[in-house]
Amino acid sequence: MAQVNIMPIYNALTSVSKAIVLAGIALGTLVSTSIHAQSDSLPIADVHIHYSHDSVELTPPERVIEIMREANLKFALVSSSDDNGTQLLSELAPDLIVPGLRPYRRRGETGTWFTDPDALEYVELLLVNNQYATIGEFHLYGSDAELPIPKRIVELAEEYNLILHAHSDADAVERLLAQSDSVKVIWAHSGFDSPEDISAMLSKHNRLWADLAFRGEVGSGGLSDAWRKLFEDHPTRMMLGTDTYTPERMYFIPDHAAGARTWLNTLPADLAANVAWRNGFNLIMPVWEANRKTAAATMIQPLDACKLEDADNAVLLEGDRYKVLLKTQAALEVSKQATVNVTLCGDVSKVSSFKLDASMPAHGHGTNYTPSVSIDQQSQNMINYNVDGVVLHMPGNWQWDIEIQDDAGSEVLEQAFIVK
Amino acid sequence: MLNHLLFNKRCTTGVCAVVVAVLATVAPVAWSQSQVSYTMLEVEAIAAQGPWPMAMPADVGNELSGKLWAEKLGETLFHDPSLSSNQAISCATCHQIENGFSDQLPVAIGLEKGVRNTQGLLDVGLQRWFGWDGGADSLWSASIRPMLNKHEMGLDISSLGNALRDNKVFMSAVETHASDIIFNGQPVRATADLNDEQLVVVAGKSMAAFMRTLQSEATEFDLFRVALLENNVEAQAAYSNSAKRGLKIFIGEANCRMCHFGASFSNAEFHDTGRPFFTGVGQVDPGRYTGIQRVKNDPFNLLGQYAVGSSDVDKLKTSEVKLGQINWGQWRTPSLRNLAHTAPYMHDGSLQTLRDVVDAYVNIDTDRLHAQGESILKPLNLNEVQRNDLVEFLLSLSVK
Repeated sequence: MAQVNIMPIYNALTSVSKAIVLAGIALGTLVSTSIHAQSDSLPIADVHIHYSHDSVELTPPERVIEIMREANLKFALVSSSDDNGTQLLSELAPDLIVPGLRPYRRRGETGTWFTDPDALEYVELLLVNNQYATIGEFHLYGSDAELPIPKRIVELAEEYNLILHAHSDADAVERLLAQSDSVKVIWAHSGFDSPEDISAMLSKHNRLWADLAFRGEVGSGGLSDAWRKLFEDHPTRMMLGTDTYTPERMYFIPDHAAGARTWLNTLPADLAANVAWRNGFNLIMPVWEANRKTAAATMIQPLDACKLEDADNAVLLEGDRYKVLLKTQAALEVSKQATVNVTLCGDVSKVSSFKLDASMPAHGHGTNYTPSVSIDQQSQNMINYNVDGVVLHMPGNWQWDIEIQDDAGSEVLEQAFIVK
Repeated sequence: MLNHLLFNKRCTTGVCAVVVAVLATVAPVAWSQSQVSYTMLEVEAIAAQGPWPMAMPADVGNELSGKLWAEKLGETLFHDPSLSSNQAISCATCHQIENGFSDQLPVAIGLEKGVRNTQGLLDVGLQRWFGWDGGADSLWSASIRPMLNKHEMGLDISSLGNALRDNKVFMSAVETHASDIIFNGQPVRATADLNDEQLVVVAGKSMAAFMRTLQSEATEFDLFRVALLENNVEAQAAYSNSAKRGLKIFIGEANCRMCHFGASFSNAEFHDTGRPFFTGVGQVDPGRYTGIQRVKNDPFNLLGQYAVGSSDVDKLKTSEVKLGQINWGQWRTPSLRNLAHTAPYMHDGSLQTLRDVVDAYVNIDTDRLHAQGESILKPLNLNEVQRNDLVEFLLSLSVK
């Protein structure tokens, strides 16, 4: 059965064209007549995925992406405890993963984060270094939403253009919305409220959307009139989610999608597509695109810029205060001029000078040239240098000699290597 | 329900009132190392964990259930390795009599290593669903499944049919008792007309007839329960104080009875107690979720042509059971009777001892349970003595 998969087309467009596409989707003019909800392969936007530390240990990110593609997900909003899982997936499949930021460093912080300054510090640090579409899913109930840390979270959502993803009762949702004129909220699990109460909340708050994660009763034994009415009354506000709250639930994503399709199938095609993916897409994708674009302009590097990923033409030197990653385009050859890309990681704000040279300890000499060092990029945690004009003029045992000067003195790093 | 009726009946005779009155006046609610007493509500709860033994119901849809010849034939087939693809594995390979019809292994090893622990078969006829995932709705359909499972005995319908045709004991018994066997609403007239699938059904129903006879006797707990209800103080003394304290924890603080309810010590349903269910890298065993799919698609289920004499009420559980995301990672509440003989424990045999099981509930990882999931599960605050008492009580549920 024919269907339009908009994502590859969307990704191929320029940013201006994307804005037009998004506007078109928002107006319901671009794809509404082409989607057939009755297809078994109706795409699903799954807005409630966690890939937390224990899940990372048990299921490789490649397998997670495979599962998501098997489920024909349009995209997945992923938030994890800690954030590492989200980043792993995001790096692997940027077309599929939309990152959300959970204020949890480990599972088990659902009842403490809102009074824990460390949790807030963790959020603020990650917001500086990574890009997200949402803050959440976090757990927050009643008047706890008025505590300083949740209030700061709302401020951060405004500051960083983020949607809140709240596992909350209606009371807390209303308190969060009241703290800002602009912040939008995805109501996780639709608060486990009845369709009637969800409808009332959506009618009352135009900055509120709701997901149906872990709502097994929706569509169980056929879609009830009450749920159907909710979708009809709020055709652009309801979304789907699996909620992979245990590592094993990751494997439920395809079954969840298939189960949802069975009851979506009983809705009119346009409405089914809205709930299946379009509502999530229209809400989240513009935010994500904007944040991703902003990030690309500023190019703030993550903390682990000095991570050794490809050992072929790279080496990582670890000192007491700094780490240095040396990379070359190809293997170094005798007497062939090369450029060494150097990433210096640590508290680089105090660095006053950086030198890289090479020597042959057994020969008692170094190179015949002074390499030229220039800064390529810099952030608060790293400096990227290009060291041009490196010429290693003899085969044999060489040694990198690095000297970093800062206000505490100098740190010297050495690393042996062989030129053939 | 029957247990409640029994207790209420006793109350109406005045015995219950006497028990409670004695307990309330002679024995205080607080208890010590040397003396254990129970409140009226606790006595009611203890009464609900019996009586034992229970009357064994017929295997639903199995016209051979209760037939002596089928029970004998079933026992023979149960030990027959010719019903496996390598001619070396029988039901008894894993369901070993000397080990409570289990095998002392974490997970079963048939033709290949499986992913689930072998469950004991004592009192299996009392179950409502069969297997850890409830993938069978009758004992006879549960008996067929392992023979056709490629990891267990590994035959297909055709090869199993041939193996049964070659089995003289089987064919002779079927020939002799053909009139007891019903297909398409009619007794079998000529055994030569039976096709492979029908032969497999007869074999499964015969084995189920045998397994239905595997009933366990009264245990120390059962004797104590009766003594308690009859206010027989002398007989109550035979039950150790440790087990009495463990019983009190079981029905009280630890609230084990919420699921391990009734004379079978099982509510016969499925729960997620936070146990992991990975079976390898990138693989999970989702338990009840696949069990429901299996039973719905099983040609030998109670909705199918081979279920004989099952009523519409009998069929309801299979026709109406709902598949939902809550079922992902649920396992059938096992009976606690005779568990002293069936270590290791849990669906994957991941806990070696009863103390390990108790510790697992003490340290239960609530993060694995959804906020809107099984809300009664919470870490048990039990000290060393209490944990040992609970184990002592659990041991008293086994026949020595």
